[in-house]
Amino acid sequence: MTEHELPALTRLRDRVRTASEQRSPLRIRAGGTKDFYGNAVAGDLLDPREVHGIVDYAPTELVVTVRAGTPLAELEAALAEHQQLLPFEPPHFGATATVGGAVAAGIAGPRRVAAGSIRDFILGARMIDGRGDVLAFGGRVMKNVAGYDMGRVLAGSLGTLGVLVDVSLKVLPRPVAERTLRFEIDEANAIRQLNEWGGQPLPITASAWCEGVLYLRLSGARAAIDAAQARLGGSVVDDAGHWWAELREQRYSYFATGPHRTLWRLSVPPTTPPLGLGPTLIEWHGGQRWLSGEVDVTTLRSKVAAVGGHATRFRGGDTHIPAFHALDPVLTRLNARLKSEFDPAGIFNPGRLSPL
Amino acid sequence: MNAPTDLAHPPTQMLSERIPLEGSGPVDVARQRAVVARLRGFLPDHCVLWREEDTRPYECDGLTLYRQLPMVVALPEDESQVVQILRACHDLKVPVVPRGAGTGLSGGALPHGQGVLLSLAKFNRILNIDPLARTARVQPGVRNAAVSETVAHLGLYYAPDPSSQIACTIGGNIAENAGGVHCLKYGLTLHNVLRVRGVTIEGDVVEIGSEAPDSAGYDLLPLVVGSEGLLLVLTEATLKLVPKPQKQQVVMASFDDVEKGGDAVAAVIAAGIIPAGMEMMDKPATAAVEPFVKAGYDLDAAAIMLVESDGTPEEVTEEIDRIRSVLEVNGATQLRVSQSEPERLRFWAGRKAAFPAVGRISPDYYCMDGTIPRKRLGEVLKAIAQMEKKYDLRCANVFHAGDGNLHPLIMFDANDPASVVRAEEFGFEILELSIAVGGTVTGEHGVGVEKIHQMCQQFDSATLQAFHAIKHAFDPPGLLNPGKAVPTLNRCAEYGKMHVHGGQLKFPELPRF
Repeated sequence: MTEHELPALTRLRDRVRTASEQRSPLRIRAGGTKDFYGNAVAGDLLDPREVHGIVDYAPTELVVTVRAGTPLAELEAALAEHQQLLPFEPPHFGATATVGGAVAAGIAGPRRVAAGSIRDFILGARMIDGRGDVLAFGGRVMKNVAGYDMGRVLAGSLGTLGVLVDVSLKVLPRPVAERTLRFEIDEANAIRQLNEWGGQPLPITASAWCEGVLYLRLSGARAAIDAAQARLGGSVVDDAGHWWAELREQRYSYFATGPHRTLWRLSVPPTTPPLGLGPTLIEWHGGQRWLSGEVDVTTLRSKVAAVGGHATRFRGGDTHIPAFHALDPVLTRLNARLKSEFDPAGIFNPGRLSPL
Repeated sequence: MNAPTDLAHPPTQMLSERIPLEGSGPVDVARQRAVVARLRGFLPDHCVLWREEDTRPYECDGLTLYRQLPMVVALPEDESQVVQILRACHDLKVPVVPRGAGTGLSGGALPHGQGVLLSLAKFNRILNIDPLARTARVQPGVRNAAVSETVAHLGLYYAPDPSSQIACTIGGNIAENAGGVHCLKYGLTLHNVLRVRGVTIEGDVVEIGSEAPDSAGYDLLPLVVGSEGLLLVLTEATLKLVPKPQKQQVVMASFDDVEKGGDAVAAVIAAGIIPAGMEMMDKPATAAVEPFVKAGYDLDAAAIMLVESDGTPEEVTEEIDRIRSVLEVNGATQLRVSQSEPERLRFWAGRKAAFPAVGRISPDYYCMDGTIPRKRLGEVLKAIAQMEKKYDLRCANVFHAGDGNLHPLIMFDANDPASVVRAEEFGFEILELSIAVGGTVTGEHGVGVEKIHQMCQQFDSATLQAFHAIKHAFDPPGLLNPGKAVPTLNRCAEYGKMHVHGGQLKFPELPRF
């Protein structure tokens, strides 16, 4: 690196080195909007927000490099000025959400079904490892197969591999037009219908089904949307942009949780028929299903595993229940080895991803 | 495919001085006998090759400048045999090099002289097609094009289309994270693979990824895809299939200056258009292909550009109009829009034939693979023109303009050892320039053995050590495809001695030997 290191970055590295020497755990937390997600962590607070700001944004390269402490809203506003967006539509879950938090959580919004997840758009990343070294993976170009694509692994790693410094993301133009259609259809037929449509050249960029109603978002050229609507039928929903944003941010009552109400996230092969576990909200053409209420965790997890999926205790409920599905022994070993290579002293968010 | 023309007398001697081949030297016959005996304990006789006449076909991949005989070739027929081979190699501490069709251009499947070359050629079955889920479960030896051919009747296809797709295999595509001409819109191999199944060097079967949108634990798929056979031996993969667009149409534009062409590419993106494909060829490239293909290219143009739109008929009509007007405003001197499917294919034929066409006008060529930020295209092409003079060799440039991936084709004569050395140095200077402008040494062909030294320039020592740590997590004894993709710090230190860059040694902190 020829550039001068930011003083704030040097301070972060010093914190990590000291913690590593003393083997004293760090709890990495920026805006705290996703505190509910994952298992509980004990450790000294490390707030990385001092390292913030957009480093480089070249709209015609479709690439933005942004420091991890940058508010997500600030990044999205900068992209919007050039009619561009983050294609994975990350939920904020609060005004203080940061880019680093979005990467660490790895959660995507409704557009995931068409565009892909946050990891699909990470071109490169810099991070501080457990020795306090800054590692630079990937780069700022679209196509790059030099070295292992470790930057992408940070998506969803919940800060357990290192402290993200900055990330280069591929961005895309905002669609020229969008329209949302509404259909009345039962759960089983909605799942089948969505997957059939998925196999056809239709400009569908989001779907959501709940309580007998299916919402479908079309995006793209106006002519293509008109043609698709003529083919699909349904009725047009007004002010749908707001509707999808509320869904993404889980502001509907369906998502409300309490001590006796757990919000479960099921990730399953999209064509999986209704699981019969209770009232369900379905996104991503059947791939992401939300289940709210009290269910027996053993039954739930074994049923979901049997269809090739996994279940996450997303919000609320009994914190003694591990948030994430257990891995098989070989994957457990690979995960543990990777973790110890990057964080030999075990200081980064211990337990957040898998209970200690 | 797209491989440099075969060399009758490859100057490996000269090259091996620069990049020492792994396990070179005479085969340890006693060890060879022991490994063959162990493998024949569970593999049929025809699945274990060790006589020179049988192993000769495996001595190189598409990068024919590097050749070496493997000690043993193993051709397993099912996953349990792969498990046994890897356990045997783990016990005997024998290096293993996995191989698909051998079309790779960076020497990733170059054999280890004291190792087992593990060919997945017999894993060539498509196991299941799920039309509703739009997935294909395939073995790694299945050819890329075979997938799309098999699902064509369902109106689906597999999007990644490396130009070698009629021969290269899915396993090789996953190992290299193969690209193609449609990556900007449809992504790389990583974006089109949902799940892989493979075997670790310790002989454990593992599934990474899922047919669900994600899986628990770390997302290891981005490590395995593009790992160049250093982490796992694949036995199966689930691929994502996408609907075939109803219509495709292409605009062909001429520019009297390559930099103007580069600016026009940026202008298309700035207009909010993501074309299905956006390719450029410079004048030496069109001059090479036109007599060969008769695609109707404008031979007076400094560069021609092909911009493809796909989708519904309505979308394509609207997008083609917008592309045309952007290109007109940005200095295109000629514009043609394909009016029929045969005409569209003819426009593309020249681009697709660029490599063989260059092979016709030069005894040999060396294909480079740097990716650069698009805005630096003009200056990079000018620098390459200067290098043509410096090395006294011609170079034609084809360019995946949409994603900044440049393929300079350096023409040389393998029978002239001095021209081989110049071609290599020319290539390495292009790679170093790609790094200097903020790009990468490889966009889609992989590091292999070819670009191992340039990795020392692209990544600092802490990051290179992290790459070794990742390798170590998957392959503690370091037996899978050793010496490829990631250089050791010692090698970087040695290379730094040979190649003092900008007056500064790389890794000054390392002890010198």
